[in-house]
Amino acid sequence: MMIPCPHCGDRDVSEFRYGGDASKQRPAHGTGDLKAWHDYVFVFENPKGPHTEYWQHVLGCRRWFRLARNTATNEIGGVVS
Amino acid sequence: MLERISALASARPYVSSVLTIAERAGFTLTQVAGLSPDFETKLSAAVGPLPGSVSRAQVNGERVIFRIGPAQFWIVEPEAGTTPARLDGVGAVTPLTSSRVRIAIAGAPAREVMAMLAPVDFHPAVFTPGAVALTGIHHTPVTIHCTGENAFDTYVMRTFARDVWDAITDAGAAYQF
Repeated sequence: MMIPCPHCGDRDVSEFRYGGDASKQRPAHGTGDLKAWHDYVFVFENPKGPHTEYWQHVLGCRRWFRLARNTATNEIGGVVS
Repeated sequence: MLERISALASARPYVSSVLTIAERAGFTLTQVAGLSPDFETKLSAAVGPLPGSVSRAQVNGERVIFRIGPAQFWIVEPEAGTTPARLDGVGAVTPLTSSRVRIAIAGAPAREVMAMLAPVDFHPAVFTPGAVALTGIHHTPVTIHCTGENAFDTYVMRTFARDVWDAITDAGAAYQF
C-alpha cells in the first residue's frame, strides 16, 4: 500500500505509523461532560469502508496528516485537510 | 583531549572485491529550521541555492543540502566547513554531527543491496545520482543520498548505527568474494 505523504509524496506504508481515528470530534476544552470524554478516549468504531485516519510519516519527514482510506479495500482517497 | 570514537568501532569490517560498505566519517551536519516567511530566502543567502524538493539534494561546492521536512534542512559539509557560523539569525540551528553516522555503499551490486534494505525504488532510471529518500532501514529512520551511478551515502542515527551496519552488511553478504 502506498500512502501519499503531503511532504514526501507517495511512499510505502512501512514508513508510516497509524495514529487513530481522525473522524472523532474532541470534546471542548474544559467541558465537564465525563461521558463525552469517556467516549472520545475509549469508544471506537470499527468501520468497514471509507474512513478518515491520522497517519504519521514516522520514518521520513515525521509529518502528521489525515488520510482517507477504505478499510475494506485499502483504497487510498488522498490526504484530507 | 577527548578523542572521537566511531559508533562502528566494534563492527565487523565488510570486505568484498565488488562492493564497498564503509563508514565515511569526517563531515559536519547542521540542521536548520524556521517558520518565518523569509526563512528560505535568508538561508539561501547564507548557504546558496536550496533543493527544490525533498527527493533531490542540492550540491553547492562542498556543501550538500537536504530538505528533510517542512521548513527544515540538513547541511552536510567537510569538517572544516563554515556553515554553522553563517547561520546566525537564519533560524533554529541544531548541530547534528555527533548524532549521525554516514555509511557509504558503493559498487556494481549496490542497488541490489539497497533494494533489500529500504522500501524505495532503487532502479537506476528512478533513483538517479542526487536523489534522496527519507526512509527506514531495519525499522530505523535513515536518509539515503545517491552520490553516484552505483553509490549511496546512508545517514543513520548514531545509537542505531551498529545495528543498521549489521543489517547492511548482512544484505551484502552474498557479494563477499
